[in-house]
Amino acid sequence: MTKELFIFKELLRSLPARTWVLALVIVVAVAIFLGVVALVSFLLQPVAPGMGARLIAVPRDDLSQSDLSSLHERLLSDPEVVHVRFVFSSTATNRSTDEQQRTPSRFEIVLRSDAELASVSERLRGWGAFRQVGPPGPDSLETWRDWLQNPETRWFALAGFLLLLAMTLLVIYSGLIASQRNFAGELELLELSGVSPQTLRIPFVLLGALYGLAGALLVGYLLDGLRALLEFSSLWLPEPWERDVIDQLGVRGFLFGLALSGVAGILGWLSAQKYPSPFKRSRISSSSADVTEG
Amino acid sequence: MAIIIQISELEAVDPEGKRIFTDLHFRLHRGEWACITGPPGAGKTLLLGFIVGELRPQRGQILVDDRNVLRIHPAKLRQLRRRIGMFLEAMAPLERSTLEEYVAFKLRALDLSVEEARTKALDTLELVELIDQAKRHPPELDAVGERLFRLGLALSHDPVLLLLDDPLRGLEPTGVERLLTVLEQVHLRKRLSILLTTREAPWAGRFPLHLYALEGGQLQDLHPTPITESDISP
Repeated sequence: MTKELFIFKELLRSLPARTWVLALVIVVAVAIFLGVVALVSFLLQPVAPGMGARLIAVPRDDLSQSDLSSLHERLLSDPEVVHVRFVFSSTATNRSTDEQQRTPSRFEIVLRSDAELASVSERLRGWGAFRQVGPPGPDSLETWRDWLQNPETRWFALAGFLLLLAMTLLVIYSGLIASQRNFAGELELLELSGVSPQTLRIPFVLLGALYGLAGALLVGYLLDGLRALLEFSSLWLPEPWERDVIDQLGVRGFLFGLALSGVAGILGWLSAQKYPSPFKRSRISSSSADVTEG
Repeated sequence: MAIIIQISELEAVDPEGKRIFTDLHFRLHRGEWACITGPPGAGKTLLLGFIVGELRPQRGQILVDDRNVLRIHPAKLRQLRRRIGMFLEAMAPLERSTLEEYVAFKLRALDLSVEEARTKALDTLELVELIDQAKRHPPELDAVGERLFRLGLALSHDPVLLLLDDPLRGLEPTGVERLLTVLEQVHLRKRLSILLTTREAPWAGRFPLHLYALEGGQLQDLHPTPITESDISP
């Protein structure tokens, strides 16, 4: 494997600036694809049976610590509530401990059944102690979820997804072919010296996998950055439960990225198989020379 | 003397149905230098392709280093190719690295250590009289320098057989002379077998080689003309 890694290192060294720009475009395209796939998979995922539904309840700003404690007790005593967790927002972590304790953030409430989601939400709103009560995720996500799960429109979603997948794979494949052309002289040299085709293909497998992995890392970092941006910019998107959605999207995007790395690795293997034999090219050149010289 | 290439009853037809070789026979002894001449399209490159097992003829037998290349397992064929140095006419360009780096790159990919590869690369460049240009890039070389660099790459892993496909094409007479002189030195010092193809070989009499002409699908054995005083003097 040392030999293959050495050739891979030389392959990366051989890439000119133009191909590095292409590589950057590939990684961004992969990251966009992974972000979309993560979002679609999130929207399509049904609530696991028996796990119940989740509610987010944001208490009013003017409640004291003792009010919050009693609110917590009251929530736990509700027959439909399984678990309640009090969460501080991370924007409050830089404040002093006293201030942080007094700063209300939100309650994450797990219900016994999603059938009771609407009635429990209505009941909690009736208590008058909460600014907001609702399921995790903004309303816009619910709209998309409905759109995706509608039998009449899901075919459009599937077609769009396949188109995006095809474009992503095409971009990766183009990048692999471009790097192969840059490295053609070296490949030919090694092929003529009896280096096995497998050894020559592995650097391209690694390059394809690297594109997928870099896209996975990028989507993870981008979503992490988006979450941090939302937390520091609560005026733009005030729903505090965005954070959970983004966390899930980041993890999903990364995992899909790992899977895509495998697919891109296979593309690397296939792209190297298309490399023409230097001997056959030599004959073609020779034949065309014959025609020229008449 | 032992034989390194033996071709018997070789027949080949091109995709258009034109017969390229008809009952072709050829032998190259170990340590021998042979030159095959022939017009464009005579099948010189094709013959080299058959010898290295890259292409397959319709009929015949080809033994290289005592192995039948038409029946050999692909893994064994690759092992055999490590004993052959090849110079092809149409090769992809090498431009980014220096001469020394390219030769070392090939040797590193053939399992040599960094230090061994570097030392051997410099030895090879010295052999082909390019040691003073080791730090230059291939595009900076003139036509004959570029051919010598390719020759060095073909020689760097110490092959026992050197196949050269039209290395003199397009060179000025001085360039032809320089390349052949280096080749003669390589032949003398390494004692390897050389098979060279070219269109014409008016210089053949001045070098210790066996000359063949490829015409009508068959090889004609042309003995080299004796070396005379007029051939040696410039």
